Formats: sequence, structure tokens, C-alpha cells
Amino acid sequence: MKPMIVIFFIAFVISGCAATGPQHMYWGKYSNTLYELKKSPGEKATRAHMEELREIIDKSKEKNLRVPPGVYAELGQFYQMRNESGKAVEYYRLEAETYPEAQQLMSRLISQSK
Amino acid sequence: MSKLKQIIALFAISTLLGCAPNVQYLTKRQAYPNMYEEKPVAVLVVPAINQSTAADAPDLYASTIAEPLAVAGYYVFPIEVTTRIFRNEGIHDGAQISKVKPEKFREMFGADAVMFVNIEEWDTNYYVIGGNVTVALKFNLVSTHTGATLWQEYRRQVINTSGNSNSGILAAMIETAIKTAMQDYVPVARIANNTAIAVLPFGKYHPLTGQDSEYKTRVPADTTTSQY
Repeated sequence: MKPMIVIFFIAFVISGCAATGPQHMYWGKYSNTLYELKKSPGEKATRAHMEELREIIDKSKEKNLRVPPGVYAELGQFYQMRNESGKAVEYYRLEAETYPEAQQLMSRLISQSK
Repeated sequence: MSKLKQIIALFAISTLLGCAPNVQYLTKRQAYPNMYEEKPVAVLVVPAINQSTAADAPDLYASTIAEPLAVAGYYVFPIEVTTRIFRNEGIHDGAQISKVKPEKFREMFGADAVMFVNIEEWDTNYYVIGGNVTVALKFNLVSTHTGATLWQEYRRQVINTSGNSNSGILAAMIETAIKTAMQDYVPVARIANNTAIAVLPFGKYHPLTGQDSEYKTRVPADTTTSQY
């Protein structure tokens, strides 16, 4: 048993891999639905991606994780494009509340959507 | 000699042989001192600089970069939003803004750093009976406070799409053509992103932020990876 542990340890050190620890962010299928939207833009892919953004928000809350950066804002922009300014502003606010770094850009988007 | 010693000896020899003469292992702090000095949080990813012949590469690439950067602990400005802002200003390619003073991006967005990505290759290659799909990316993270480069990496990812030559040359050519045509670039780009960002120091929103400065990293990095 012991030799195996030694070998694993050596392999671990040499490979330079660090333990990433527990998952600290939930991105779901974000990259896939966004890629599909870029490959074949249209209502169907847009809906699917918006659905995924909402799913990421729900799952993150469920898992007690911070919603990933940009997710609220991106969903806000989709609502903006559908002329649902009220909802857009709501999501821009959530982005800024979650990430103080977003404050400046979100204020700009909010003032533009009024 | 015990079996364990043999294995360790073999391991040590193969490791030594596998190293190019100038390869060294530095701590992340030694490799990227500016990152630990400035501790950037808010990263603006600007449209990629397209040096490939594929016109759609920057747009497709944009779907791949937010997730790994955010997982590494950075606040990544919503790329779909910022890309739209740039587009409204007539900016479609990062090359158009590569001469803009970095501090402008702090004024406009509140960014601490700007990520420039050069798409150097986004190609399908054919040779006699084989083929591959290659994505090569150069990353350059620039400070909006000092204009200095904080982090720089290059990754070239090759996915082999050759047919099986045991089934005959013609069959292999056909298989290559199909496999190559079906291989998407985006999964290749994702691998290139992930291997590069794996050495990026953790940012504010990573649970191990500030604790990775003594992690070892290979310098120069193993920049070309092939999957066969």
C-alpha cells in the first residue's frame, strides 16, 4: 500500500496539479447553449440560452453559490432586446449587487434602458 | 533493488529525459510577479484579434473564454454585453483597439485588466491521408493601471482527424475528410483556454485566492499539445 502512496505523491507533485477543491461556481451548459446560439442564431437558440441562464441562477442559489459573473447582465440584455426594459433593469441591478466591479457598466446600461 | 525503487528510478529518469534543457519550474509568483503585485479583479475580454483565415473565429471563440476565467476567480465583464458595445462603436476585431491606452478601459468599464486574445491559427490541415484541426491562441492580460503585461501565455492545440490507414488508402482518405469536416473548432479552443488558464494565478472569487503563489509552474509552458 505504502509504495503506491509514494508514487501517487511523486506523480502529483511533478504534474504540478493543485487540488481545485469543491466546485465553487455553477456554469451548467452555458458554453454549449451560447455556442449553439452563435452557430445558428434565431428564436429557438435564443430561448434555449435564456432558459439556461435562468437555470444557472436557480441552481447557483440552490447550491448556495454566487451566480457567475455576467450571467445576470447577459440575461438582462436579452430582455432588453425583447423590449422588456423593466426586467432588463432588474437583472442589471442584480449583477451590480452581486459584483461591485460591475457597478459602473451596469449603471450605464440602466440609464440607457430608461 | 525493490520494485518500488525501480519504479522511482524509472520515473526519475523519464522525467529528466522528458525535460528540454531550458525548462525550469518556477513558483507562480516568480513566473507572474505582476499578478501578485496588482491583484486585478475585473477583467475585460475584448474582441479577439483574428490572425486566422476564418472570419467567424472571434465570434465563436467569444463563447468559450468567460467560464474558465470566472472559475479562476475573476470578475469577467459580460462578454455578450461588451462585445455589443464595441460592435456599436464599429469595433469587431481586437486589433482595432490594440493601440488604445489601457487606462481608457478603466475609465469606460471600470476594468483592472484587459484580456487580448490573438487567434493565430483556427485551421483545418490535410496531408496525404491524414488531417487535423488546430487552434493556436496567444493570451495577453494587460493592466489598465500601469499598461504592463500581467500575464502572457501561448497555447497550440492539435486534434488529429486522420482516418485509419489499415482500412486502405481510399477509405482512410474518406474517413479523414469526414472526421475533419465534423470536428468543431470550439472544443479545441476550450482545451487551449483551459490549459492556459490552469497556470493563471487565482483571482478574488476563487476560494484559494492568494494561496497559490508558491505553486510550481513549468517555464516555458508546454505550449503545444496534440491529441491523437
